Formats: sequence, C-alpha cells, structure tokens
Amino acid sequence: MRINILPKHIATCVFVLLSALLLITARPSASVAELSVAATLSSATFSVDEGAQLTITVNGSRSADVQIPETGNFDIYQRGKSSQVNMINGEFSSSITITCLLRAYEPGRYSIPPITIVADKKTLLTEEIPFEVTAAAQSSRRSNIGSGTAVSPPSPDTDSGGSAAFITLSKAKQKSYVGEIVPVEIKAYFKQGLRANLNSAPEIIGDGLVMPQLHEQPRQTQERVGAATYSVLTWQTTLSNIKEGRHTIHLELNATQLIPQRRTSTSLFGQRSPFDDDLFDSVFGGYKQKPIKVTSEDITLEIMPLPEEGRPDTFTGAIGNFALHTSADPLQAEIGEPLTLTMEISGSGNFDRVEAPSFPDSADWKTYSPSSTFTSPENTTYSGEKQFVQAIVAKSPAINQIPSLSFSYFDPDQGRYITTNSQPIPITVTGKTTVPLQPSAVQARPEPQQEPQPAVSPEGIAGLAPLHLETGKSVATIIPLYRSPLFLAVMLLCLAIIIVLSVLRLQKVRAQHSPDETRKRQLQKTLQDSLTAVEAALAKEDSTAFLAAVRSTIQAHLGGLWKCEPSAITSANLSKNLAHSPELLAIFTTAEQAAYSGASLSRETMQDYAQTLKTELVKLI
Amino acid sequence: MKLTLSTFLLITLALVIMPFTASAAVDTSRFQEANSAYSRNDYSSAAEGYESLLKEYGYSPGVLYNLANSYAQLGSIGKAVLNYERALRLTPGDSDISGNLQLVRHNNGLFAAETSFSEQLLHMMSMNQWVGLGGLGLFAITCVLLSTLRFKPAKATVTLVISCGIILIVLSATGISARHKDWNCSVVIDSKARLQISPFEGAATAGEIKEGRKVTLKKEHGEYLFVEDETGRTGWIAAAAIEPVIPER
Repeated sequence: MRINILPKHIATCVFVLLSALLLITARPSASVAELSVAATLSSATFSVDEGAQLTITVNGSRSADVQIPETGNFDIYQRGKSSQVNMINGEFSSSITITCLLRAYEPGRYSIPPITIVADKKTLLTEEIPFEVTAAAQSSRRSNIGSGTAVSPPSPDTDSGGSAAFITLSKAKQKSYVGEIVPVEIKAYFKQGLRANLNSAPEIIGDGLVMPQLHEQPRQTQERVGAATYSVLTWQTTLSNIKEGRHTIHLELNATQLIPQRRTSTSLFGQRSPFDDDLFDSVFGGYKQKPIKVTSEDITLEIMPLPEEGRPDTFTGAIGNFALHTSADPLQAEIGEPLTLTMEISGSGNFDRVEAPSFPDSADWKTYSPSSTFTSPENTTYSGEKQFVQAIVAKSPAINQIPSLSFSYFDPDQGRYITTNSQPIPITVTGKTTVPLQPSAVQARPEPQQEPQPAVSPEGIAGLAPLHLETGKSVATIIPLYRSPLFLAVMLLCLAIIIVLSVLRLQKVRAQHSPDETRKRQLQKTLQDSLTAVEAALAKEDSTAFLAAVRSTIQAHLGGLWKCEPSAITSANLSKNLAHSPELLAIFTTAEQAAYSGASLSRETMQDYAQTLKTELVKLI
Repeated sequence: MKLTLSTFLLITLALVIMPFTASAAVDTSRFQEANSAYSRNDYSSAAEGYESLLKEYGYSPGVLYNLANSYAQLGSIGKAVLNYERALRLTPGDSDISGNLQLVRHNNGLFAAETSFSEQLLHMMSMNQWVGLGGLGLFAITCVLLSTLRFKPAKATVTLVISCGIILIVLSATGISARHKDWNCSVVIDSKARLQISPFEGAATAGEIKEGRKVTLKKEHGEYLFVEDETGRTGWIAAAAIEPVIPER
C-alpha cells in the first residue's frame, strides 16, 4: 500500500512547485500589454434580406464595455462575446471578441460609425466601416403575410450563400394529362444554423391540381447549395391533375423561426460576470419566435385533355403504365360449377380509375360482379397491383377456353391509348349439369365494383303489380301533411282551443286558492258543524239546548264573518249590522233572552228557527 | 243577417283552404292511352305519356305509379325508384306501390343497411302517417277539454285521454324526426354515377354507387353534391346524376 501512495504525493508536490514557478516568472503582461481595438465586417456588400457579421476585437484586456451606436437604416445586434488568453514565448496576452449581426432595411451605401469601447478605464474608438446594401435577392414572392415573413428560394445571381429557407418541387412533369397522377418530390431547404419549427406540411397553392395531405414524416438530409449548407426535408407525394389548362402554382410551408435572444445581465458582477458568456446565452437566453412562410418559386404546369382520337370503348379512365395478367381456378369444371377468374393489373398510374376488364357477353357464360383489392409494395396509391376476382360459370360443354380479356389505358409518356389483351385460358368443361349456380368460390362483396347484370329481361320485370286505372287526386307540389293548409288550420284551431281552455282553467284554480275563497270554505264547514249541534238539540226537543246552540251558531258564524270574538257579539251588534235580516235578529234576541230567563219552544217553532237560521246564515257567506 | 263567430270562422277557413285543394282533373283519355301502350309492352311510349300528364296536371299517385312501372320495365331503375317514392309520398299506404318498389330494389341489389329494432318501428309508418298520428293526439285532447265545458266527464277519463294524446304527440315527433331525412332524399338516376373524393371532374373515385340508390344531400360545390347513401357511404356526385324525390318548385 505504501508503495502506491508515495508516487501520488510526489506528483502533487511537483505540480505545486511548477505552478508557483509559473506564477513567479509570469509577468502581468495581459494588463500591461498595449490596448487596441479593431472592427471588421464579414462582407462589404450584402442584400437587405441577408446580413453581415461585425466582429469587434479588443486586444490587451480581459473585459470591455462596447457601446453600440444608434443607427438609422440598419441595426446592429450584439450576438456573442468571447475572450482568449494566449501565451506566446512565455508572454501572456488576452483579447475579447464581440460578435454582432448587422441588418439593413433598405438598399444603399452606409457606414458603421466609430464604436466606443471602454476597457481598463480607457475609452477607444473603432474606425468607420463603409458598406453597401443591395436589393433583396428574390423579390418576386417576398411579402409580409400577417406577422410572418415570406422566405423564398435563392436567386442564381445572388452571392453570399442564398436564402435562409425555401422549397422546391422536383420531378414534376411540365406537361401532363387530366386525370393523370404525377409523382413528385418536395424539398424544404433550411440553412444550416437556422433554428425553426415546422407548423404545417407543404401545401400546394393554385388551381388545377391537388396534392394529398402529407402525413408521413419527411426524410432529413443535408445538401450544399452554392456556398451554403442546408438541412433538407424531403416528401415523396403525387399531384392529381383535375382541370385542363396552364396552371401556375407554388408551394407554401408555415414555420416558426427561433431567434436566440441576448440575456439581460442581472448578475451582481455586471459585465464582468463569469456568466456573461455566449454559452449561457444559448442555454438560458431563450428564443424569440418569428413566424415565417417558406415558399417556392412559381411553377407553371400544363394539363392537357385526353385525346378523343383512338379512345377505345373499354377505356375507363386509367392513365399510366399497366400490365394485365389473368388466371383461373379450377381449370376443369362441370357445367354450372363456378370458376374463379383472377385478373391482375399491375404497374403505375391512377389505380382508382382502373376497373375490371369486362367479360365478353356470351350466352355460354354466366358472370358475377368482380371484387377488387389493391396492394402496393411502396404503400402508395400510385404504383402496385389491383386484383379483381370474378366468379364465372360455364353453361355449355362446348366451351374449351376462357376468352381473352381487354384492358385499355392511356400511356402519358407515349401520348396514346393502349389496349392490352390477356391470353385465352384453356379449360375443360364436362357435360354433367349441376343445379346450383352460386359463386361459392368467390367471396361476394356487399357493394360490387361493377354494375350487376340487371334482372330485366326484354319482357320486363316479372311479378310487378298491375297498373292503376285511376289517376288519383293530382297536386301541383308534393308536400308533407304538416304543410297542408287544411291540416295546419285544424291543428292551429285545436291548439288555440287548448290554450284558451287551459287559461280559463288556470284562472279558476287560482281563484279557488284565493284567501277569500279559503275563508268562505272555512265558514261553510264551521256552519255545517254548528248546524249539526242545532239539529241534535231539535231532535231531543230540548228548547234550552236548542236556543243555546242557535245562539252559539250565530255568534260563531258572525264572528268569522266580521273577524271578531264570537262571544262578544250581542243583539245590539246584530241590530246595527244586520238590519236587512230581521228574522235572524229576532231568533238571536230570543236565544239571548232565553240564556238568562229560559224559554220553552214548540217543536214547530224550533223547526222554523232552524230552517230560517240555515237560510239566513248561508246568505251571509 | 247576423253573422255568428262560428260561421265567420268556417267561411274564413274554407276560403283559406280552397285555393290549395283545387286541382285540375287529369285527362283520363290520355291516361288510358298510356296504359294501353304499357299493355302492348311499348314502355317508352307509356312513359312519355305519363311524363306529359305529370308535366301538365301535376303529380297524381296513379300516374306516378304507372310511370314507375314503365321505367322498371325499361330497365331505368333509378327513375323507377324515384317515381315509386314520389307515389308513396302521396299515398303512403298503397301496397302496390310499396310492393313494386321493394321488388325492383331487390332485383337490382339495392339492399338497405341493417337497421335496429327501434329504427324498424319508426319506419313502420310514413312521415305523413306519423304527422296524422300526432294530429289525432292533439285533436283528442281538444275534444276532451271541450267536453268538460258542457258535460262533467270523470276526472280519470279526462286524464287518460290527455295522457294518451300527449303520448301520441311525442311518438309522432319521434317518428317525424326519423322519417324527415328520408322524405327529402334524392335518388341516383344515372347508371354510370360514381362517388368521388372531391368535387371536380376527373377526381379519384370513392366507389361505385348503384342507380336507384337513395342518397341524402349534405352540401354542394359547383355542379357536385356531397351525399350519403343508405349504407352510410359518403362522397361527391355530379348533380345531374341524382334527382330529388320532392321536386323543386
């Protein structure tokens, strides 16, 4: 263990001694060295859509404060700062390099005024730098759209490395036909170093042709265009020609440019902060987002109509380059037994317009609608193989082959229609008749690609119900019942009646629930109870009890009506308030007197009293 | 002469309705001529005769039905289906019309998509029958309410009739909403019609669509219409390839 430890101690000692020696021998040359400044521009001539790099170098100092001057037609942005310490022949020197970006707004001749630099408490000035700004490299599509800036492809006559971003459309045919599908390649170029996010896939702007939505991720490569290196995104897609004529189109792509932002120093150390460096700017400085619209140059394509001359009857609109191959299974069958005929059309073109070759009309064959499937090894709709499977049934033992089938298409390269014929397929049909003619060998699709044979014979459809001999009532227009005036009138009338009756019923219900009505019902109930007591006394022919019940009935009823204490009501109150009812007053007076002096009434009198009482009290409610 | 309110209402109602109900009688001799042509298997002449009657006198169920039969015999399945559908709009309960329509559709593979039990129930009646059912419910409610003014029907009876009326109205509204799309449908009359993925000539096809297939319109662009057929397939179709069941005025 000791053997291992000792060399480590020795190495440490040697390092410390060397460091001390270095510090002793080293002079403070950096601070003593002569202070100088220089400013250089990367290009004396550049266009307005480009920029130039301004480099300010301060020699002999390890820190400097650069005061960027205010300018009129151009701006100077400080983008970075780096410092270097060199040791040459044992002498140390330090320098600071400040990198700025210069952008001009208008073409012209300008000059960068002297820039003030304060270093080591000394103020220095750079020399004035003249430069020239030329017009935009490509002005045809340069425009501001919203807040975004259009970025277009570089012009061949411009120098200095081309545009920041642009799109190209390659492999597009200048002349093509309506209905033709043209495979194309779209490339979006982004200058290396440009930071951008894509907001959309490229879109075609213009009439006459359409491009499917680009869903797949583009291939990413690098290409050198002129003096600049670009990151290139490539999409493989197709253009479908839909309208004749000359069409001018261009491509657009929305993106967001990320512009690095200079951090505002908030350090206690100010400009001398160890964190005031490009490294920290790129990590912590953040980015300003600027929407840009990357466009291509205008592209003019001519779409021609398909020629009428030489158009075969079997042409269904297929344009491209195709080959037909047919096969059948089984090759030996009995009459009525279905055979599976497979027709394969392979190649490249608009497969959506490729239809099954029609089987020749023949009394010897019964055919069913074919079904189709499309397969593409490249997973595109442009190239691949479309397979049609059709059930056919031989109806005659004389058949010895499946006839040749024809498929017609238009070859855009040759500019003419081509009809390709399949080879007849030899088969053997034996004479034994089988009853079922169902295409069990083929899976029938619910919606066949081809129109089925209509079940209409020359004699017409069998089983139709006979003609009507009466025309029926005629109308000028066919309208639903709910728009018939008579129906509407009846329904509106019904609705009106329902509404009116409902309103009346509602009012009645509301009235029944009013306080007066409630009080009346209460009075009626109380009166009914009191009269029951009167009737009971009458039945017993007890005059005293009868008159007492009469008196309390009148008092209770009038107390409810007049809203006062029933026992406080006297004959004086009745004579004052019930002058119009002398019978009631008389009965009450009799009853009141009987309460103090007693009374004897005959049954008839009591019955009269009871009847009068009931009549008069009900009247008062 | 004192004009009572009820008399005034009746006269006003009659004056309102009269212009809409008045219609010219179809020339029966020409109708018979067309029928004779049909009997001679001269379906083209028969169809021409019925078409001219429709053009001159408007739509009548008998003429539409016979015209549909003529087109069915001629193999014009689209026009046959169209005229059967029109005839059914005027006489929804006619078994001859519905039977022939079903036969023509079946023979030409125009099968409708499978429907749920509730949809089958809703399709048991035509839209006009559903409307009539709702009207019956409203009328019953009105009658029972009016009867309470004059008579004293049992409260339970009134409640039962009103409840049934309301149920009929609700059922009717459901049926109408289910059948309304069908009422305003169109029929493919072009045997070479196809659905396209975009409304331009030469656009890629989205599939074949059979003549006689019923479609509903979703939107239009130029001379193309975006439609959905009975099986739920959608696509653009040339406007000339379809005809609405309810003719435009």
